[in-house]
Amino acid sequence: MLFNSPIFIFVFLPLVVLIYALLNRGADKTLAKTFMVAASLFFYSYWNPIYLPLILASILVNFFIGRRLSVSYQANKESANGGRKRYLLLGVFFNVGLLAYFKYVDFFIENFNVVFAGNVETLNIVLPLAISFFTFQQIAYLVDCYKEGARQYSLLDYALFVSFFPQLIAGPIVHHKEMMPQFLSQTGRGVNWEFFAQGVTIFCLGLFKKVFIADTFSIWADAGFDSESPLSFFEAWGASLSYTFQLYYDFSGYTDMAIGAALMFGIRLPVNFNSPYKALNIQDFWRRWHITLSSWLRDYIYIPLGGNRAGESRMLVNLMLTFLIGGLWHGAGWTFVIWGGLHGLALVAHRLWSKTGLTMSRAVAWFVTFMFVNAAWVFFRAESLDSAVRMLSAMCDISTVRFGDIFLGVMQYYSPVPLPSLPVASGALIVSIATLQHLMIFGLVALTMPNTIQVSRYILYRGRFALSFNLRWSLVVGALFFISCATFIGDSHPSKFLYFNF
Amino acid sequence: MKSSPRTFLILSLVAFLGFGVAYILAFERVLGSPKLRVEYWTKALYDYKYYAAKQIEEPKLIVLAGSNGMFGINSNVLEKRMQRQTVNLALHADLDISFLYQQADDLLAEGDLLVMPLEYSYYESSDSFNISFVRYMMAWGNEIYLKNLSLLDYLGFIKAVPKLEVWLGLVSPSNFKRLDRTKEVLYPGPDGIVREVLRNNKRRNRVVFSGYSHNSLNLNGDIMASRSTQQSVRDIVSLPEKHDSYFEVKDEISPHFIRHFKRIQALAEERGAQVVLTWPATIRHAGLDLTKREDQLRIERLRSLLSASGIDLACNPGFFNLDHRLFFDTSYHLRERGAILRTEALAQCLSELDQQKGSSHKPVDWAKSLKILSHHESRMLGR
Repeated sequence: MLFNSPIFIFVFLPLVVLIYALLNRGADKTLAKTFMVAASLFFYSYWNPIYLPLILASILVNFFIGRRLSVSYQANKESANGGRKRYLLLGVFFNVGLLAYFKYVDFFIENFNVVFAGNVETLNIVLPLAISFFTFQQIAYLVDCYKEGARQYSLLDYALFVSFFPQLIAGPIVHHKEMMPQFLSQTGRGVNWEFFAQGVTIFCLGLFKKVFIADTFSIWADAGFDSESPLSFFEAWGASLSYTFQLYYDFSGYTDMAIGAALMFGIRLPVNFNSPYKALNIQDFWRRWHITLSSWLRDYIYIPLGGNRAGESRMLVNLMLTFLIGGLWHGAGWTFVIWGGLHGLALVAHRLWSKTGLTMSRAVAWFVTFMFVNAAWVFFRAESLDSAVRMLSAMCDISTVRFGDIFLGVMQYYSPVPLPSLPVASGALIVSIATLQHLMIFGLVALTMPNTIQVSRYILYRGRFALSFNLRWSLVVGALFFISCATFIGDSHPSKFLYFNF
Repeated sequence: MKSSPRTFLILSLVAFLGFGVAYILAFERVLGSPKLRVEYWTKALYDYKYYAAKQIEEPKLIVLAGSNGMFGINSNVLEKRMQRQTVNLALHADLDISFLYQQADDLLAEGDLLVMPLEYSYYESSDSFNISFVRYMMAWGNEIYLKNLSLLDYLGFIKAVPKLEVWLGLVSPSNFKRLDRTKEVLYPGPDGIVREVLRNNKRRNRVVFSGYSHNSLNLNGDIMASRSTQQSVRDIVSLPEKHDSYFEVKDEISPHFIRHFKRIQALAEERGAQVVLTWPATIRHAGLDLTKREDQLRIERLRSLLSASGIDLACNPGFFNLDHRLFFDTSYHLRERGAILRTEALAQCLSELDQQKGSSHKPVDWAKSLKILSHHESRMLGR
């Protein structure tokens, strides 16, 4: 079930909020939690029920291994127990094995066939929804059980932590230490109206970002990246910038909707985006983009590899490895590996640059960072390496610049009456003045305005755009919700979120 | 003034509903407004064709399609061969299949034969209404189309309207309905159009082609382009970037098309009429060349996809992919000679169907068909 589908917005979410609030009024929370787990599993299996046993098995196996690790930790605090380590490895292998089977087997077979001229048939395995996310969450849980003997939760609480539907499909990647205390403290309070109103506002902002902004950018991004004919300079830039902003508005819109939906139940999910395109260097970018993934990679890959504790050169290797793994996590393909590798290299370069003591102006720093991120997204989006290289080549080929086309396009677009005598600008199907207009408006919003998490006061923000429960904000929320509904209602298939593919 | 969270939520809901109601009111206010940026020449054609169809009381032959039918069917030829009065309602391929259904609903009577040589784009249409159709219907389709839609379809239509169109319709300074985007000729209304078409046809023995206008219509509703092949057609054939491949073979036929075509079939059955879905006229060039095996397979695949949905695509497709010199100005518009040749082939097929009284499905003998076509094309072009 998609967050941007009428069935979710007008049926599932209101019903679950209502029933959960009613069940949560009493002193006994078991019924409310059981209902929430059932609703979440229904939400998960609504898409394709065949993977319901998979997530259930994953929850059960991780719960019992985690419990075993915690119990043994309490019993043997001082000893480096080899048996405990075996349990941890078993748990990690179980999770990584699931991910490897469903996500990487076909990739492995394809590469095996290329390298060894083999003819092994791919298995055409369909990636189970959310597997990348719930696997990472549970690996973190097992590691914490091993290292710190994480508190023992009931199976119901643990199932709720993993399956809680607002964050189940595409994050934010939540940590048990953030979530469990909230689930445990959900005493019979009924609805927290302050949280609820804030949640509705954030949800509406996220919905607008997804269906109005991101889905419009997707038209030009898809046209450009899927084009079989060569792109001109402007078309290539139009398509790549459209994808850069599509991805931001799509994923941050999804995260806003997840945060908003969770708030309606009184649960605060971690912040995942903080205006990443305002970043002034690549390290800054990763502190603002998909923050929960960056934190996970840092805590469970980079630091266990040695982090910065084993000397400078080892630290640089660790950075590269962490980002190569991060790239591969996004998808089983060389384009993702290259994307991760590019970001790893950029972080290495940033580290070395920082040590020189040289500085650059904020404007230049922002420009360099943004251009790098934009170029790297080309690998992230392209279907193949060839396609990525073609796109980047077109972005550099100024011989295809036709200023006359821009003039014609502007004349056609803004003329109050049709101008039939003007020829149509070439490339009008892939990028147009509408693309430029959309990029100008929503690009500037992303680059200069406070983000949704700030204006909704989900984090500390006291600027002039801060949410206040007044008439003006009621009009804003009503208008955004109306525009969003007018955009998506009637579509036979709501558009998928980009991160559902990962 | 700050309010409680509950009041805030109620106000937000009221605002949402308020915006919805305001938008629908604005949309309804714009409907039919001269301020919309749409020419009325298609409406003028519709006015006369509708009038002509209403004049026929006995069982008739109705042609319903896009402009390949309007330019490419000679009703006089059909009338002589089929021995029944014919009206050509074909208009524009941007007009949605649901619009064609409503025309059929309005005009189909017992004993009628409805012939639909639809452009290939109909089989690929998405669920959503195309922008050009939306503009036409906003400008002139309120009474004849929108008011007959179910509530769900009406909401679907409103959703397909570019929001800017509603705004432009409200604020545009224009206040006259133009028949043509270049000449500022005012639309005189349905009665005025009918009078002009009748006058044109009475004044001359044979109406003279005068462009995309009701002034080119003959009494049956055809436009016979008695001109030579234009450079635009030669470009379509010679410049690869201008090739129109007409259609892509996908895995399925548009569910939107199937839904509405089946409604037309059911309507015909209910009224004791007959429907024949058949091929449009296309240019034989690199985009679609039925002398080539790969294009023959494309066509056969399309036919089998339709057949799998219970829809027959009648007649021999080999007779409708024609020499470019028989075309006038676009990849679907035949000139008069081409229209006669195409109509003869169509009439032959309809007669055979009438005799068979059953399915038209028999394998195409491509070699034989192409030989026959080549002979007739030479005859026509040698005139």
